[in-house]
Amino acid sequence: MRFPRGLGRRWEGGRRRTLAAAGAVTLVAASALFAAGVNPAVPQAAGVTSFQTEKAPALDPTDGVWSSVPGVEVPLSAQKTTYPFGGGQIPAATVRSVHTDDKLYVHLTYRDPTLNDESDGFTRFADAAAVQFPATAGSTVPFFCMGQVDIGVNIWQWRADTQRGIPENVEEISERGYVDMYPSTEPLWYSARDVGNIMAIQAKTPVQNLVALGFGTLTQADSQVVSGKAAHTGDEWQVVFRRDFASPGEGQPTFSAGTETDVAVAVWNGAERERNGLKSVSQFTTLTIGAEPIPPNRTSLMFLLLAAPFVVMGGIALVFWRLP
Amino acid sequence: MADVYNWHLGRTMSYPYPAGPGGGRQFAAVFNINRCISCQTCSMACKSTWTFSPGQELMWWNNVESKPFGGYPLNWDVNLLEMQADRDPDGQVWNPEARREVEAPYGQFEGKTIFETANGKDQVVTGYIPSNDDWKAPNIYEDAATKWAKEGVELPAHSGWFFYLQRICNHCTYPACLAACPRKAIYKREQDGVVLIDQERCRGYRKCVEACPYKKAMYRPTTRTSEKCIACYPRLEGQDPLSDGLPMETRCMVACVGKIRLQGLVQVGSDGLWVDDPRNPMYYLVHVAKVALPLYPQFGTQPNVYYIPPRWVPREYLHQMFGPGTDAAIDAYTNPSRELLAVLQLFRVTQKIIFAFDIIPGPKVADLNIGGQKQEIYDDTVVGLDSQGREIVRVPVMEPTFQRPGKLNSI
Repeated sequence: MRFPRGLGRRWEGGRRRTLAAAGAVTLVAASALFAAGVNPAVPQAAGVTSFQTEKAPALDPTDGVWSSVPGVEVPLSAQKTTYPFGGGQIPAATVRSVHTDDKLYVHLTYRDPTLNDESDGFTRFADAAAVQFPATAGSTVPFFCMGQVDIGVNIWQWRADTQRGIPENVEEISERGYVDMYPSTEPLWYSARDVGNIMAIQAKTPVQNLVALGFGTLTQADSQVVSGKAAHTGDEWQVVFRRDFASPGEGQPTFSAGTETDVAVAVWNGAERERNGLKSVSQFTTLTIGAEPIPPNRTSLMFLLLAAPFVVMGGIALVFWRLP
Repeated sequence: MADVYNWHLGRTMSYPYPAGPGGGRQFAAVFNINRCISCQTCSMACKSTWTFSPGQELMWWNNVESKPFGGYPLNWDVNLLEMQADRDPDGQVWNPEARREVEAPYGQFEGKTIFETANGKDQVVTGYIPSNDDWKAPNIYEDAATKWAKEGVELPAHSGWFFYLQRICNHCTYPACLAACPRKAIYKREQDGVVLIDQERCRGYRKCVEACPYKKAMYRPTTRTSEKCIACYPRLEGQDPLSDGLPMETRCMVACVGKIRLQGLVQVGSDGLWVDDPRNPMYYLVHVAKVALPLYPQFGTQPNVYYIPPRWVPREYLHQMFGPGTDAAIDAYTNPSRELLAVLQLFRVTQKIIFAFDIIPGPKVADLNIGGQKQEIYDDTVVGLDSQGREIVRVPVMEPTFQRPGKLNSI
């Protein structure tokens, strides 16, 4: 580090300047971390921590609780493992998690300036985001792309079009659409609906509960019990997922406090016609369902208290520096 | 990618899956373009049977469009032809000299198929998804004559021309839709070769819509899945009470007013070729008379609907659409053999699928001169047999006429 007034002109003066500089650097670093919402108390490389909370958050991604939950930025990249290759439009997602005594919440935030929440046209595709867990928590980590034959994965996929709802008539599909009458609208004539395909129904939840044992095996779970909701604000999507700790069925993990599992993230940008393998994906990262509570909201106060001595020291150093 | 043999191309080609074991039947049909009046009765028969519900408004599993200007969806074929030409510059050519019976009846296609021009990354089949607007207005502005020849026109090609092209799913031997589906939600039935989308597994990715060169997989927004022609498979299976449990033709076939359609089931061998069966009307029309040709065989899917090409259309256009067999097919249709003339009478005379025919010779009834060629017309009788070898229909070449007594002629 080079000082403009000449290092060592006076040894005492130099030492004072070094102290002052160290204080200033620390202050800047602390301020930067604070501004980025990153809690340096949580190890960034160690994965995601699910914090204990007494009060269950609302099923609302903008619930205030999430602003105090430390997030981990998970890098995403294009899916290049199997056909169809693609994605990579969204470089990262921030993952947060909390849990109550019996429910796990996962919250995603990622940048996507375009809101695409309908898939009514042939060339229109909806935004979507998913989190993926090994079928059995704590087991050998399956292949992060859809699992493998002997180790499955459980995927919770939120879909913007499902959240919006399925159009029921031609007026909803086409601006100038008009039909005099339909001879029958019995479920039989909606074949996919008739056989229970969750794509085809007005779902109670915008999050699909899916299981997979490798590429092309994605299958809807018997119980669609994952709740969730998303909100598009500004340039980003925030999505919250919620499920009971207890496993609803085969291929879906049981969660419990004090255990570890893994979580991976995928997002689809509808504006780029992303669906299926055309997506941005992450590797698995550890999800610790910890016993520690959400760091209190006095985080900012703590930072100020931590920073105060350095500010004072900086001021004193400046005074010394100015002295002849 | 596996190597499979495509007899339309007369060569092996790359396909994502190996060929099936063979031994089953294959849905096939012959459409005689020359007779179509575009009454759209076929389209309405299909529509009123399968696609009359919310979300299916733009969906015509069967459509009839006017060529060269019409298309449903708009420009479906020229768009793909252009993509193929771009990806395989100067490569989309045939070698008719390599022609061999049954194995390579049209010679050898030396260009790349839609499977072979794909990048293999985001696409395993070259294709595109038409926009909503492309599907919205079938037949609009079609049939608008752009030429009027005061002096009239003569064969072999008219100066102002158009023709109707009747289209359903081709239930291809190497379906592009099936190849493209990342979920394996599309399957081809061994018993009849019908290609279906599993509505339980489909997740509406529309890779099939993108891949099908004939654009016969369609997206339905009210179920967020894709749907397609199912070849009226309950009828094929003999489930229609009218058929006594025997295979029956599809709704679009039997509704045809112009009697242009004949549908059948052919036996496929373990080598993927049609088993030699010259008494089967499909086999006879395609392999013996060589009067019916596949639509855009160069795409490489080995489609199973065959067309008798229109006589009056400039040959260059037809060569691109039907391949190098066009001239021979038109010649065969213009001057039909005694046998072909009899088989052509089987179009639309029964709803049951004809598995074999017999011809009972009849007397000579006319000497004609067609295009400078002498032609003898015999009033033979053709007999259609069902899958059990039982007679289901009997038709003479000459339509019987009756002269009413003068005193009753009061109309």
